[in-house]
Amino acid sequence: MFGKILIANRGEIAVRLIRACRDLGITSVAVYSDVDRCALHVLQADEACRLGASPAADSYLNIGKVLDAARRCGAEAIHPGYGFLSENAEFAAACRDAGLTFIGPSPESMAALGSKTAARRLAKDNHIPILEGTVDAVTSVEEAQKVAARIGFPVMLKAAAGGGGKGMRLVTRAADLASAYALAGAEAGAAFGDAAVFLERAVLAPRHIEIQILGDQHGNLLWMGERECSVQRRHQKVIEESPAPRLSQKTREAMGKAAVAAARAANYTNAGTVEFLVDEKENFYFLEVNTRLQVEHPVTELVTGLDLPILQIRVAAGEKLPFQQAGIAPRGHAIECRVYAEDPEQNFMPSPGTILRLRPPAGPGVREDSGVYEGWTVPLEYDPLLSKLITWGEDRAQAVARMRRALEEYQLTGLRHNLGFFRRVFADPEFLSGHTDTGYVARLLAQPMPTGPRDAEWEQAALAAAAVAASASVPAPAATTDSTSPWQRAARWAALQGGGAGQ
Amino acid sequence: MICEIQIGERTAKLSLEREANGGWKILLDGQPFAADIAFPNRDTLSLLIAGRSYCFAWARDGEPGRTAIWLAGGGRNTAVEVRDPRQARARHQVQLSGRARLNAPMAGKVVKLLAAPGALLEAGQGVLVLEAMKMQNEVRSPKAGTLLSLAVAAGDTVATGALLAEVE
Repeated sequence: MFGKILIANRGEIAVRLIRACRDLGITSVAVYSDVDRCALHVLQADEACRLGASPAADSYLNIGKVLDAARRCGAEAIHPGYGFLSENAEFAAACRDAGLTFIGPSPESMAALGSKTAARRLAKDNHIPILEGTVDAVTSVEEAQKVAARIGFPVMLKAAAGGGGKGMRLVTRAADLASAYALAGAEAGAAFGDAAVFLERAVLAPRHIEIQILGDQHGNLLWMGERECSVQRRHQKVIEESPAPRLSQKTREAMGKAAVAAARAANYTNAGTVEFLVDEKENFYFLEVNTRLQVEHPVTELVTGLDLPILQIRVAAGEKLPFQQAGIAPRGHAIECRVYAEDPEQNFMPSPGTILRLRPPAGPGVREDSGVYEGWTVPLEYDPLLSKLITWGEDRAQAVARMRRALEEYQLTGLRHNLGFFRRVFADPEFLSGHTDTGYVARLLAQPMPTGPRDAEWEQAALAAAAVAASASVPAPAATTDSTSPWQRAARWAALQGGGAGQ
Repeated sequence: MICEIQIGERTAKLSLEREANGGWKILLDGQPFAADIAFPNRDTLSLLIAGRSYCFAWARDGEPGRTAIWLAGGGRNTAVEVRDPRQARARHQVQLSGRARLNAPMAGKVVKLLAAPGALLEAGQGVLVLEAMKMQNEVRSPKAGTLLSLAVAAGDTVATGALLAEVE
């Protein structure tokens, strides 16, 4: 087992991985850019190493600087988290060349699966169904126009190197293709250092369901249930749950087997996720493989009882998986909300700022994986994910009830965020019935905001609270007369001891 | 203290007076508003209104002369602007003129200008591209008209609410 692991990431996932290291008795090393000097992961890690200036290209995306940090601190392994360098085969190879263990699949598996275009080719060769479109990246607007004309609009442009919805555009008519192609390419280039995009037939309002896989270096490759991730905005997931509501056991198992087949064809080891689109007849189409830990891994952890980062570290160290496929027995239901610094009233635009107050919820069945703290200024430079709120219940209804309770308790202010949006979702009959698809958020927002008598009462309370808060006459804590003050207690204790407060 | 508070679409007038017993006498749009208000600590407000309990975590924000209060409680989060009624009138007059001001919907970096001053714009036409947190977003003209001025150049970093351009 490793003695020291460098975590090549930031935010909530870096904190999550520091916790896994601590559980295993492994020394954790955080890395940071200038703007992240006081980020939570730096405060929580055992050691911390500066990478460079704030732009990701000068810090978290810079292979040379990350490897140099690993050398300086004497780490034996690197966990890349998600995003940044996590799906970069060149980085995984550079780790190996430097004598470091990359906690993830081999660079060869990543190359075979990591780019969406390469994965489409592999799936096609292994008879796993894919959507019609280009197998390789399109190199010009003219080529994109030609392919789109052949398969028909709407089409989807996607970054070949992508993930997380960046560099992705839905195009409904030929006139919009050129500008969408330019924006998607620019976004992909900025986010992943690779501007290549490909094109495929767009299925409107499908379900998005993915399979968690995990393999060791001894030929064991398992799937660990599915996650339903259909609630998305800007092509990025905001709510995930497991198991997927209304999915037959037969389809679930067929998808699990297809996921394992795709992974096996790429000699896959460590954790990964195979994503599928599922239509209303439960036909499923291979989308891509995320060759890393997913943002939404906690829902799988809560239903399986497993700790995925710890398993990742163990198999990367050469250990055998401690169970077989039959040993994976999901129980209950888990749901995750991704809490973002973004404004639901402004088309979910990022809304960075300072967290002035933060009081997260607690209680039975509630887990929060956070990367921020009160007083932290969310930087402009990176993804605006603040934390993930996850609830577990014996069934979906209990998980939902616990999420509603947690959302009610959660106090987070000083910037715009999407907790209010989640409150709306968890009161919405369509979501509660489990009939969501990727068009769900747009449908919900097209409806007028429901209001109840409680809202008017709350508004009046808020008005009074704001007026009182704004008036300068906030009473200072009465420290000098407070009988619970530690100074007062110390004096009383001294008096009781016979020392006398006056001496 | 008398103030105007804007919360969402609504503007309310509040009058606030401290009573001898430490409580507050509140008039909300001229009507007495009964609330038992306490500060459990510096950052928290507890209100008991007709038997219902409301708890807010709050913080002050904004610039001198323009106070914003952030409030989180009951699953909701809001920023309300608390202002002096005289300033509110001045603000209103600016909005009456025919100019539309484009303000930055989020803090970010201007990566590209899509129109030059003097350009004729259609409603919804893109004026510039703003990038924040790796997402590129077009900022569009709210109305048809002439692009009067651009307050920013490509490469500029802007704060939320910063003036970007004016359209008439």
